[in-house]
Amino acid sequence: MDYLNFYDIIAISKQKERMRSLISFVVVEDDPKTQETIKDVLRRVVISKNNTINVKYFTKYSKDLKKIIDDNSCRKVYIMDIELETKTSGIEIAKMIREKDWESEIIFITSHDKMFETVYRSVYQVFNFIEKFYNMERRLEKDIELIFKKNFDNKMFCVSNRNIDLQIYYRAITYISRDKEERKVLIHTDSNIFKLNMNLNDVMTLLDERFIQTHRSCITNRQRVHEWNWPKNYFILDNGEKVEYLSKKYKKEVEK
Amino acid sequence: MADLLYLFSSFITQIVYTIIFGKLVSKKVEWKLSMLIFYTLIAGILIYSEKILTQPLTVILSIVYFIILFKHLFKVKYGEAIYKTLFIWCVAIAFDFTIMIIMGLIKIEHLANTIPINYFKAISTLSYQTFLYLLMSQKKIIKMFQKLYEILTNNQFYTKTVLLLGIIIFCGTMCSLNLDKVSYNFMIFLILIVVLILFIFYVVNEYNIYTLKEMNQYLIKNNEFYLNIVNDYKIMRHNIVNQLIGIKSVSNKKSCELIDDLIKEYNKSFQGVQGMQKMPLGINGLVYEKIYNHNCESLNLNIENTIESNVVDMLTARSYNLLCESLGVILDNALEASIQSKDKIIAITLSETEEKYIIKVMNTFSNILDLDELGKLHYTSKNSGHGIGLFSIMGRKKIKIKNTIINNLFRSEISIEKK
Repeated sequence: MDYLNFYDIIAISKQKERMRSLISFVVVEDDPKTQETIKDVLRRVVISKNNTINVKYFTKYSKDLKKIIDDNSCRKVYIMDIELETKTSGIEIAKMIREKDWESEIIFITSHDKMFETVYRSVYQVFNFIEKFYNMERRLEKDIELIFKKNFDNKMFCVSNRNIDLQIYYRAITYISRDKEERKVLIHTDSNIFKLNMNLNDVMTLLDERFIQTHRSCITNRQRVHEWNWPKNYFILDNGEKVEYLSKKYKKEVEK
Repeated sequence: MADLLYLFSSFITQIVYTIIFGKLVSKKVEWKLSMLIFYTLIAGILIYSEKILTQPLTVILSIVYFIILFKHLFKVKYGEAIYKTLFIWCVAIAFDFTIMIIMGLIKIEHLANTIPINYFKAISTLSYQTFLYLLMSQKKIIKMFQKLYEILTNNQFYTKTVLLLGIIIFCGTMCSLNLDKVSYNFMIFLILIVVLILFIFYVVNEYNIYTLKEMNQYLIKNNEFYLNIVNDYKIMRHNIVNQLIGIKSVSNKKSCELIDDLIKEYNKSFQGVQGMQKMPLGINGLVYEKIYNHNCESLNLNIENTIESNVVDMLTARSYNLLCESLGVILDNALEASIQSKDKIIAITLSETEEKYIIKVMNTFSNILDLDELGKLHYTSKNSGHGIGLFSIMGRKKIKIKNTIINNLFRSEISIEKK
């Protein structure tokens, strides 16, 4: 419990926040024709299937839009034009969203040069860039279906200490192991490993049901496991990594 | 006996002044026997000079001696030696006057008939030297003096003017107290010299300002010229790529492959650095140099700036230095980390509010990070690192640095208050 004293209560409050289930769509588009097209898609794909979903339309950045961005009580899908005719562009709005909210999805409608796509996609976690003049309706429809299909899987593992805040999507965590020598937990993602001064039980309280214990020293994201090999005590992840932290003791729990 | 006591007090004065000057320039004094012998000799000369010269001349001579001594002893510039010696001297004079007034108040002068005046001088000197040493041993006082020195050196012309006016007033007062020994001609000569020196300072100062302005204009013009060339080059490459695509549409399979290869090559360098020209002057030089030194072709660097004010003007010299130091460390870390990652992305956003500047550096990374050790001395996640950079810039009072990891992005936010 020393750890929980050291890391503040932010982690727990953020965990509670993630329990929310309301969804709303926010469209920011100043071109009436494009906005009409988006409305059609949303009527067809979203409202016809679930009329409780709230959709808000804007033509520019405004106080009302700011209120929605600041409101953390529901998850949102932002569909925005990059080049708005006002001073605040779609990119600027995305930056404001990502100041606080990494769980909502952002889709950009653009006639913009593709040059920046790689950077923005990565830096602001943009779900997709859809070109205005190339099959926009179909692509938007497909993206919205994809977001619903993956059930807004943007829950995050959050901890902070004096020097740094750490926020990782649950889906990005492959497994969490324990380093016996350093007495720290290692959070493994596809490209990084983060060492934390915690124990596995404390970490488990910050995770959801997709994470299961597979070994005395390992918690695994079962959605990321490609193959379980019980006889040889290892599992293979969807990125091809072989992890030798599998114990038969936890077989029942895993196969539930 | 009185002379011997006076010799001792002069000797102590030199030692105290040397220690204080050392503190002001943050250098430790290495005492040697030869130095102490030299100080004793100088103390003797000062006593002798006081007997044959007028008081103002003795004071001026001793100040000049200290300036030359400190310039060579601490290897500082003449300007710094003059300023700091005068600092010490002014404080010493203030203490000396105070002690003289106290001695006067307790009516000690009636003893002067029985005790030689040099005893009083020696007692006064030793007392104020003790107070001076005790005062200057306080770190806060030294910091205050260093800050004052910083302010004065930023306004050199006015400082020199005030300094010389101070000398005129001092010499005038000294001369008026010893009118029987000094002629009016000498005073006029002194004032003329001071006016002449002031005029020379003024001309040199104006010339320096003029040349700096010219140089800045030249640099800004050059900067704009090269940015225009870069833009023209980008447009040209863009057109070439489109022309190649046009040719590709009527080419055979082999030609298509060749054209694809060329387009790929052009697009690769197209990505590179975006928005460098939008950065505020000064900071763009720092970023240019860092990127140039790392020389990573496949880096995706995107810069967005909404700062409109002049950063150099809006920050104090100290704050600007801190900003450059912090940005330099963070950029070094970001460059090294992003190069090892798959996407190789760095995004820099510069913005401002009424009170402060905010610079965010975000980079992709691929590494093992100990979050409890990050920012501590000697902790490094790099192969060639020392673990000093981040440690040295964290916890500074004037600048706030906030680090966040969001998935595979490392985000550092620097915020610094305006003047």
